[in-house]
Amino acid sequence: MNPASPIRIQGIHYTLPEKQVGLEQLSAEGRLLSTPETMRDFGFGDCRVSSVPATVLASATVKALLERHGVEPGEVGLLINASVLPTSSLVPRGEALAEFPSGESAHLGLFRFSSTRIQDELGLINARTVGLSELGCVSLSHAVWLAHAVMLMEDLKYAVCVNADVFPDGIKREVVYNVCSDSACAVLLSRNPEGMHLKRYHTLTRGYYWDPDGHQNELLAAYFPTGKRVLEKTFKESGLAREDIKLLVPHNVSLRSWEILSRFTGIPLEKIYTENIRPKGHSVAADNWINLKDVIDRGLVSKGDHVMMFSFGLGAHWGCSIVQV
Amino acid sequence: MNLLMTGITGAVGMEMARWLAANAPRARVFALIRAASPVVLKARWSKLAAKLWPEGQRPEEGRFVPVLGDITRPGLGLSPEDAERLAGEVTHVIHSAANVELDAPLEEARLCNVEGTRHVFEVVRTFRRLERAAYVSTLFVAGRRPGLFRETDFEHEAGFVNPYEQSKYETEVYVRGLMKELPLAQFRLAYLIGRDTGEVTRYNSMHALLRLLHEGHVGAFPGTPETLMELSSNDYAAAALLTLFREHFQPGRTFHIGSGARGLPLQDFIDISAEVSAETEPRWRQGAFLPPDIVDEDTYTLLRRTLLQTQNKKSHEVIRLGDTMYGHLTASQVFDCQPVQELLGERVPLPPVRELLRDVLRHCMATNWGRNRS
Ligand SMILES: NC(=O)c1ccc[n+]([C@@H]2O[C@H](COP(=O)([O-])OP(=O)(O)OC[C@H]3O[C@@H](n4cnc5c(N)ncnc54)[C@H](OP(=O)(O)O)[C@@H]3O)[C@@H](O)[C@H]2O)c1
Repeated sequence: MNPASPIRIQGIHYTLPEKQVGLEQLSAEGRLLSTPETMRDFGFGDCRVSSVPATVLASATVKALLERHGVEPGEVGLLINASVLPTSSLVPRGEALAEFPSGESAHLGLFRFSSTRIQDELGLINARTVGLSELGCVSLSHAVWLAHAVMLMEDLKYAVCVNADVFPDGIKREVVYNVCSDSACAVLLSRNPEGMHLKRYHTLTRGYYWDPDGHQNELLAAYFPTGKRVLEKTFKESGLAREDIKLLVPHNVSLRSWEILSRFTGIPLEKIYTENIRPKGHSVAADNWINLKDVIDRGLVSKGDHVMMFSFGLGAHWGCSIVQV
Repeated sequence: MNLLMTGITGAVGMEMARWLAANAPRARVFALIRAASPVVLKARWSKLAAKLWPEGQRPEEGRFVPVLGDITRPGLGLSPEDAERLAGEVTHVIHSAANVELDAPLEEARLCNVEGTRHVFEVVRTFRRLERAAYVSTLFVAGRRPGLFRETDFEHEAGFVNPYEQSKYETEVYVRGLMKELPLAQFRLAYLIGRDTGEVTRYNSMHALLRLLHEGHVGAFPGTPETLMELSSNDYAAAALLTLFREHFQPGRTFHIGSGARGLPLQDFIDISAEVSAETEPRWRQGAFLPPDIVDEDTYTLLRRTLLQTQNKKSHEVIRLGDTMYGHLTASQVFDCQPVQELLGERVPLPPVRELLRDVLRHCMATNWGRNRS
């Protein structure tokens, strides 16, 4: 990435549904694969469950973000809606939280896109809208990276990236030993020099793992060695060392996996912000950004500090960035 | 020499048979083989001979005499005629038969290894012309005992990595007791992974591990990059054992046959496995599969516990296999094989272990771990 880039991350806003569901209840509803004890042992507690569809969470979150930063809807040149679950990018009909269209007009249901609905609802009349998919948990980070590039290319003033996911009723909430929450998180990019600087984003895609069911055993074996290499590569490309990083801001996969990755990489667990895993669960693609906002709000990092954000998305994608607050 | 050999159909036994046919023209070998009947015995022997020696190169009739017997049976289940013949003719004994399954239940391992050995030597006691006898053991009787393990090291209380080695340890205790009354020595062998050509004659746990690694299922090994893996070839073990047995025999002595300080560092084991795997498996070349990391024991323990909490069967398989082997890595063991290496010198050179691993892995891949053999 060009170190002289004027693009900055100006703000983050997130929405977590208030409804919290415990592990026992999830298990009783058949939404876990492992036992509640195992999930608790892995560091999980409650998960958040939305009562509105992803598109509603997304637009409310973007609206609040723009208002907070005094950005007029018409000033936004790019909106990227980066949802993980295919159902989250479609606007459901009727009362459904999420639906995969069926029936006579199913074909048209497949074109009820959330990104354009958000543009319409919020009056983002100058925003080109993009729906980003198939990136699993790196969706929002990839969206920020792409928005950064498009802003430079198109000379845009503002771009907004949003991720919102709501798990359809009845579907498992345990994904490869992680308890998933519904959430939305939006990131505002601008040219305001006061914002945070995305200094490096290293990504890696290993298409072999496209089938998380069929190749899960290999994936479990590759997860830590690959994570270690991605992290090391990011340090190398950024010219920074472990000591230069104030905090590693993770995605909320199991605390256990962070304990192990911490040992593989030599980054002490105390330097990894894992406090949100138990109360908030794994918000699929939003965790890194939710956690980044929280560590800033809690004063755990200050202006000028470097943080590293690491995430892994089924597919499989690894994404690791360094942001200067 | 009239030699009674047990375990001739095994990896070590086959190599000893080849060596004897080529290097001991005057030896007559009575090979104790288990079989349901004399007809089956004959068939087993014919099949084995065809595997050991190409047509036209078979030892002449009478040099190898198959004898029906099972070491788990008192008296080895010998017919009275065979028992009498052996008692009157045998001058030398090499007892190599064993249950080498690393994860066999302890009672099962004891039955074949401890009780079986007891049965063998009860029969050997009846041999009127006995000159010398050998018991084939393993370096891994060291169990979890850390550091340097010498030929003169016996009892320890460090515990064991698997039931197999515990049963071999207990057998050694019995064998050492026997040394007071019989001209008996024991030979502790390294982990044998194949012939010098790379051919694998019997697949064992190390090959299973190589397979899981090749298929991308292994993410970590406990230990340090320098941890030595005590690997060797069947040919070396057989040639060393028989040369020592014939030329340097000392009753009561224990011989260490292995690479010792010249063993293969764990990092090299991983790198070679990854490099050779990449020759046929594109996932290695593409980086979807990565060489496992070497981690400290605590990290491995945490990873192990975590994988066992998942429902991933392959991960469990890797863990279970590791449980039967990795204790030796974490004990940072080095086996003192110097005395034997000095005795044998260039006459029986150590196999180049890196090339050996490469060739063995190539053989495994070419035959799909023995499944594609005709
Ligand atoms: N291979 C190694 O890496 C290694 C390393 C250290 C020490 N050792 C020692 O070397 C010796 C030979 O091992 P190996 O690798 O050749 O083992 P192997 O390939 O598994 O062969 C075992 C041999 O023992 C025979 N056997 C097993 N149970 C028997 C019974 N009840 N009665 C008669 N014969 C029986 C087998 O006959 P069947 O064909 O009928 O099964 C076979 O011939 C063992 O004492 C082992 O502890 C081996």
